[in-house]
Amino acid sequence: MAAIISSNTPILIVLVLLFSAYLLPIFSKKRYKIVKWLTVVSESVLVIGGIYLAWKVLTTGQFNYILGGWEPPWGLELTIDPLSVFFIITVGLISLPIAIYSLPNMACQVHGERRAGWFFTLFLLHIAGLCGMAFSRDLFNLYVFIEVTTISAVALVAADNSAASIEAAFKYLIMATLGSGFILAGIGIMYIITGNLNMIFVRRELALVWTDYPHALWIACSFFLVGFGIKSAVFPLHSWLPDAHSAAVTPASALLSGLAVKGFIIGLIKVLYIAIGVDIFTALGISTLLRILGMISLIAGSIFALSQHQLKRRLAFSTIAQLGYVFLGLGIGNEAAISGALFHIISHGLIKSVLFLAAGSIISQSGETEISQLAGIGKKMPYTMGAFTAASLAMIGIPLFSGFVGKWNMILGSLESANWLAAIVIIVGSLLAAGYLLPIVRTAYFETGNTANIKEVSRSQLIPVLVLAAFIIIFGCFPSYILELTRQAATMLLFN
Amino acid sequence: MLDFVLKSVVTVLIPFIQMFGLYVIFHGALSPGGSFAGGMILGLGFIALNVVFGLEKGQEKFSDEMAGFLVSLGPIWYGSIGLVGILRGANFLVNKDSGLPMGEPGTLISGGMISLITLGIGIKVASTIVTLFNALTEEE
Repeated sequence: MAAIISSNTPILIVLVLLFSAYLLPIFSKKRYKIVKWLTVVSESVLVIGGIYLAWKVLTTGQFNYILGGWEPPWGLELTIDPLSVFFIITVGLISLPIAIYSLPNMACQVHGERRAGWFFTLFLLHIAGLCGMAFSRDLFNLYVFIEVTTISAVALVAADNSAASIEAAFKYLIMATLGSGFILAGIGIMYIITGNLNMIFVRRELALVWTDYPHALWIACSFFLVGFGIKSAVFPLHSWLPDAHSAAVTPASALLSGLAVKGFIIGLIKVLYIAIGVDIFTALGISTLLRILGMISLIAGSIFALSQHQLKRRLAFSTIAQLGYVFLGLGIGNEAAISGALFHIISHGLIKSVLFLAAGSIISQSGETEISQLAGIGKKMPYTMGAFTAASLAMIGIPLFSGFVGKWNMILGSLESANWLAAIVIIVGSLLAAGYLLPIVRTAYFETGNTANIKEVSRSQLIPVLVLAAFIIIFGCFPSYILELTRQAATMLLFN
Repeated sequence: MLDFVLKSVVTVLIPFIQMFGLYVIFHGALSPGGSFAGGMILGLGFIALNVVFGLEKGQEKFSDEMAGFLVSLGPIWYGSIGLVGILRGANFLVNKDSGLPMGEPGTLISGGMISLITLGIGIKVASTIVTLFNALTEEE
């Protein structure tokens, strides 16, 4: 039995998530307790499986898992390499606390236990889609998981059935479907050029023939960039994100802002680096484009965030800015910068889920959504606000918090490739982050307001936030394990 | 919707529609069609019932609870069939090595697990299409 589990771990992780996702609606009507247990158990399986796979990859190197007994290029293949196990660990570590946070009062937030069961179905389907995206090595398989992730994300936004969230979900649906269309068209062009869908075979074929089809390949690359760019909200294509992430229920905002958008960046990395190859897309100018888009979203997202007065909207705009860092790191494209960008994925995932969960707790306890109304709340909700402050400092990039490690590596990378502008933009982005996050902290601690009736949230909602905040500090002080994974992933992407 | 002719025709047709749906599902391994098309036809039989006899009568034959249960059952059935391969010591979804009878090529029982898998997808598609239709008609 142990041998069966250890040799099939990757597919079993995805299967456990999918099975429990589909079992939840059956139990949600009469036995709501089973829903809670199934969600926590399957999330724990994801965390344990992710750590086991990471240990396996770090000790014995990467390996592939063939589905259905058909060798590639005919069959489907899962790949377990540093990049995918890094993202599996990210997904597990962030989504388990979010799930525990959302369990106690989800039934009241989405109006009824039956709907809460469906909420967790979507939650687990979304996570299964993200894991599948990380594992998949086949372009069309990747597209299927992208669709699973997208559709469940849209439904998660609409979960509480209010007018604002349905409008936001509709906007998101239209934009995301457009993005899927672009990605599918790109995959179609790649298939026409190479006759393969497995990424390794596509790259081998492209290396031989790409000079014959420079325009077609350029179109395919730009389709991928626009498609994944819409889904991960790079600046000019971001218009759906602030509405969707601020109108959704709190756990959904945390999940979407912390993980979903990063999943699509992992998809983009896989397509660009593994399927197309770093030499070819650099020669086509996609790196420059990534760099420019990253810088613009970094600065523009931060400036938009500065002008927002609602707490959740400000956090949503800051997601756009922080994704700019990841795009910028990928665009700089040397080992230090890519490993920094990957580290920023996990650290921003942790930071943004702490910020959204803490913001959700504050909003539900005080009933206020405006930042100016939060005066004095730091004394009434010390633990929640403490986690919020730690996450804010991490977002700015103070040393000993996880945000610093990623930014430091990206600055090193940009100086290594003599890209002074990128280094300056990264530092300016940090200052802007201080500009839009520290006023919230100041208002909460140093101004006095009417806070007589506000209490700290219940322990079951407090502990997940504190655990996430603890991870921010742990990864800030001891980043070596995660950095080892991201460095190996960057080496694999660049030189493999 | 209380037309006598319509009711009689649908009463006669529904068993044939569903029989044809099951035929398309199980014959999917051998001929054009398969689980999506077959499941759709199977679901359309129930939708015809709902349209002609009204939602209450349709609920008696195929209730929302049943549809919701089958929506969940389809994918779980698919995954469980895939697990047979893992339990026999091979990879997920392997067909021949999972020990199911492979039969004679060209006959109905010839694809190993393919017919079982298409049955799962067929159930899923049929119950989903009925659920979608009911959700749309129940809204004002």
